[in-house]
Amino acid sequence: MGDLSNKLEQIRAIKNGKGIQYILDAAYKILGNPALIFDMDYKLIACPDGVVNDDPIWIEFMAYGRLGNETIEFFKNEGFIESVANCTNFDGVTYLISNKLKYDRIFGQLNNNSQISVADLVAVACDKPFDDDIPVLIKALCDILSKELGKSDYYQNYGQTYQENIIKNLIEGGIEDKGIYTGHVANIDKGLKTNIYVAVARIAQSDSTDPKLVYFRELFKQTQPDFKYSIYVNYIVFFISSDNTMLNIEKDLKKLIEIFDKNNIYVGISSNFENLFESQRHYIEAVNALNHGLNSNNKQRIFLHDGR
Amino acid sequence: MPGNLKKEDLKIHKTKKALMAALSILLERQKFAQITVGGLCKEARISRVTFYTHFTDKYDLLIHWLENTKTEIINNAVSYEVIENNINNFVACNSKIIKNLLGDANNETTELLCNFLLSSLHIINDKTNNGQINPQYVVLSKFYGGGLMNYIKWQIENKFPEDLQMMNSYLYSIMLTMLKWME
Repeated sequence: MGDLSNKLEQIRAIKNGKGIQYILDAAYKILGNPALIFDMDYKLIACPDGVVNDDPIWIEFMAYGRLGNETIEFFKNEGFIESVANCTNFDGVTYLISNKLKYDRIFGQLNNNSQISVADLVAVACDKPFDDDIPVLIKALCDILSKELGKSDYYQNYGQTYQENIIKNLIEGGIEDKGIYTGHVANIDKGLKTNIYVAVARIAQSDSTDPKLVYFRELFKQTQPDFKYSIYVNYIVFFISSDNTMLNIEKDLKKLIEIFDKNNIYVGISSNFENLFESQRHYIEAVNALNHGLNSNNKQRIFLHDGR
Repeated sequence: MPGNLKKEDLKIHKTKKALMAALSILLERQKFAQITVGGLCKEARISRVTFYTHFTDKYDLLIHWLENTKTEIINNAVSYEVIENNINNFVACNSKIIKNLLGDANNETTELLCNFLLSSLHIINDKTNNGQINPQYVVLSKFYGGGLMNYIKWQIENKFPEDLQMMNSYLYSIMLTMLKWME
């Protein structure tokens, strides 16, 4: 226990502001095993300086700067992607252990300032077996690295782009292999309540190239940060959520209504669902609700799929 | 574990197993209608997205759970007597679960449970080899299934009376007579 609190203190004492390379170098000395970080596209971001080992996946990262499709497929088949998706909603760290891996590893997620997962940390037990307290230490290390990444505008933008791509794939129904996407979709699901709705907002006279859409997306996000936003076609598409199967607009969208009214923004909202893999159908519902609502000329601003 | 399970499916099998265990635990405590996907995920410590990677909804999970149980019931059973015995054991060991499945107002779960028991007894095969509906089997399975459900409900409500074994034998002899009559 003394050893744990000592190591935990050492990790928490790693100075922020010196960059992720510095943190990983310092962490290597404390943990006794190396850890690297890679982004959501499996591209290597950083690893401790001068580490050489015989772990095939580590070597793949060093040689190509990213993981290949074969390794990602292996991750899927071994249930690692699923483990990562599961830890997203619980501890944020998970072991990746298999007799097909040369060394055990432990995985943690790194978030940007908007709490979007932008990178993964993996520590590899190639120098010594993991101690029992390793999850606590990795969690602490992830917190420090997340703070460091949070300082970077790049990772703020990267997180937004990453999230938009996943939302785009969901509403286009483009996810053929759920197994590969489980972790990514779990990142979208994170923080959403039981009942999900797709909403589409039409900003007057703007198309997908109009900077107004970006401006309003950011405004929506600042106003209601727990929803998930994207720009798609000529709309701002967003996943909203509620504890109730019947959306209470005044309560659930309270903060956004004022912006809609002030800026002449019309919104269509789908029926409720829980399974994000069904987003495409609900996106179509939301667009139809918006179009029917606008054609009906009934002076409303928010149109629900069921016509309320 | 089913023998035809591929090696790469093992981890996924683990997830499904965790969800089935979660379903059993929750069904011990509440009616199926009250169980939510969120509750199942919390109990199994898996994310909602992982749930939906494997199942379309909680009914899909229930069907999987029943199929899995059926495999256990009919596994290596050489006669109706053994299957009958396995079903009786299943009912006795899972009385709370069955009570909660039978207690749903919409009857959907009762029907699923009924189909599960009938198919375990191999009498749900209501189609001929040509894929045509066999009206005699339809009548038999609906008639027998309805009676079986009521009988199981009665057993549970009466806390499994002492002469149950004799009653069970009588029930299954009715079924065998009906099946003979079908031939």
